[in-house]
Amino acid sequence: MIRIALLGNSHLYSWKRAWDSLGKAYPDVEFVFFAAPGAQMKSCEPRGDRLVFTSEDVARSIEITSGGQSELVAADYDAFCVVGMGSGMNAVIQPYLGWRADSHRGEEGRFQLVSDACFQDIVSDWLKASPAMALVGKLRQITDKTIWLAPTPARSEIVLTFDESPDSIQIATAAADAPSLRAAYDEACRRLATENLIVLEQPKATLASPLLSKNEYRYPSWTKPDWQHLNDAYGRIVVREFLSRFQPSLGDRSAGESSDRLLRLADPILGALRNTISQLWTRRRFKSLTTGGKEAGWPGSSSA
Amino acid sequence: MISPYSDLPSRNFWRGAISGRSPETVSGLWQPKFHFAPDTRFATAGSCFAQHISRYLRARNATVVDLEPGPPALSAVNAAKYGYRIYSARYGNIYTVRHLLQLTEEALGRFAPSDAVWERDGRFFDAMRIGVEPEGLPSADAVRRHRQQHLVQVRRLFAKADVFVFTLGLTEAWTHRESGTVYPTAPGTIAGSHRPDMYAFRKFDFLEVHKDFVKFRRLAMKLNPELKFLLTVSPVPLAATASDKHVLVATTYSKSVLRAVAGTLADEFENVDYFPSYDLLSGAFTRGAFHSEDARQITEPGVEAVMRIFFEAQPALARVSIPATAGKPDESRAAGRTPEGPAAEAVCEDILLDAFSR
Repeated sequence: MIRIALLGNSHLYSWKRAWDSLGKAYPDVEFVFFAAPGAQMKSCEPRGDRLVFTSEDVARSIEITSGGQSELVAADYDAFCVVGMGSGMNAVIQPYLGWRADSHRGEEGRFQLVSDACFQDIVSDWLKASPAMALVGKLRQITDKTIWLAPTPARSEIVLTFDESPDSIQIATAAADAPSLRAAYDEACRRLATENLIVLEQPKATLASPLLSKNEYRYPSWTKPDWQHLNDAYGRIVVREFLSRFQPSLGDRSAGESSDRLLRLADPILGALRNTISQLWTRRRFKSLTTGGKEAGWPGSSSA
Repeated sequence: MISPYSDLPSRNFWRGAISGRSPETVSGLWQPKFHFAPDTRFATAGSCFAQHISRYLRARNATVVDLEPGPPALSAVNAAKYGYRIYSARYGNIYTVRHLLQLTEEALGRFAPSDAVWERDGRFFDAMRIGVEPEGLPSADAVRRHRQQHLVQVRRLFAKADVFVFTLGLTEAWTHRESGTVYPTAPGTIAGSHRPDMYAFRKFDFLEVHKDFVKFRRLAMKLNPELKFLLTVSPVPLAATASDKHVLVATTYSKSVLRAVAGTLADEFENVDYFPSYDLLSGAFTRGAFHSEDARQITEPGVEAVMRIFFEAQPALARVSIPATAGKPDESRAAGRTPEGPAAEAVCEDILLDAFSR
């Protein structure tokens, strides 16, 4: 039995949902989730060979999500995977709003000019300073085993349909330089990857453009549109990718498609309508935001 | 018989004020002309020693104007690498008063430096602040665009500050032979290449340094009539001299000129004060306690001793709690390197000159 501890925030949702349906196809693998909202997981500290949770709220979250654990004992797991926790494209979009490199074409907003090398270092440092990497650092103090980082996935492209949202404005601002921003982010991820830290990049097939996830993978919120989180369909892709890279012998085992189908059945008409409208919006926005349709070259792009 | 010395305070007498004291306990060195408030806005510039003043002010949560701030997540190492969080804008080290004057005139559109873009291996550098982009930029045009943006911030700087802190560093400089443009580093040290027909060595004397500062002060006060100036002199000796003098002789001359100019300016103008960091750190009475092994760099205890005197004389700033690290890189303090090594974090291009020493 391979035991893997997954630590993170709300972005573990897609992993957990996926695992609920996929798990039975991997009887020799056990996932144990240690999740707390936002950046609350920073309230933990390494003590000897274990990670202890130092705030009541986090301890409660951990107990619920892990099935009763009060601490994480390193020896109990074969590997660790940190999910989300501020390790996503914000590391490149936020710096871009205030600092632009020579190669960037975007002129919108107020920004300082820097060299491409400086911008790359800024992005790398931003990622290194994420709560996710702080948690990786703490884990590294209690174990020599491999740690994975599954960065926060890109926002869903539906964000572009909400003109007034800050996220939408940021993405729109960054659109002119989306491919180069993605490249800077990927390079920052490569720099993070050391022998004992493996970065699990967001699967290209789930991306609509360099900075956005395909709408079909967005979290199906009924109340307020959610473009931050992705769904269990995304979770299945990323979990399979993780397991096949973790141990190639685990390969791609098909299971659990029923869950995805059920979800789609539960949201038949409204979901389809939303998808159509949002894709139309997204196409329009992208056309107007990019000059010469440069995003069209992005692999897997459906909206550019 | 009454001696004119009989009623003077104890600080006026070497015995008592200096002898018999460890250099760390020397006090009363500075009687400031103006007292700062916690919300006093400082702008900082100068030679690399000025970085320490800026660092300690920031560590005290004093308001240090920063018009070209780095991203908050930028590491201390990369911030220093790209000239962030060092001074109030990314102008890098300003070693000479002439360079300070030039920069101010350039920001006001009254001066255009000659041969201001230097090249190395197909990359282009801003000759006037060569250290802020260590890998250079892709074109001369890019350098000019970056510089224009930088100058906008320099222009704003004086209006945004209450006190302009400037550390005078050098009297020697390399200049553009035809126009007289002064560069902060010698051509060929980091980028560019030395061409004797194009560049000339220049040594500024007392009158020139004094005149340059007076001109600078006048310009800065046009932008902010209430601006005050706090001068210090860098205690760091020259890494190299291009004069025909021994480096020690050249250093003594240079520092003497700068110290005399700073003192004269402070005597001359009500809004100019001199903070005697140089005096504490260059005196023989320290017996090397504040210097690195090569007697060139000031160690962290030296900077601490100076800044203790600064804050002692500025009680409003002293009340602000000081973080344990005093703004220096955690790594070096944790590794226990600071007491022996040079004071933390200073970015000094002239260190490169050591590479050329025989």
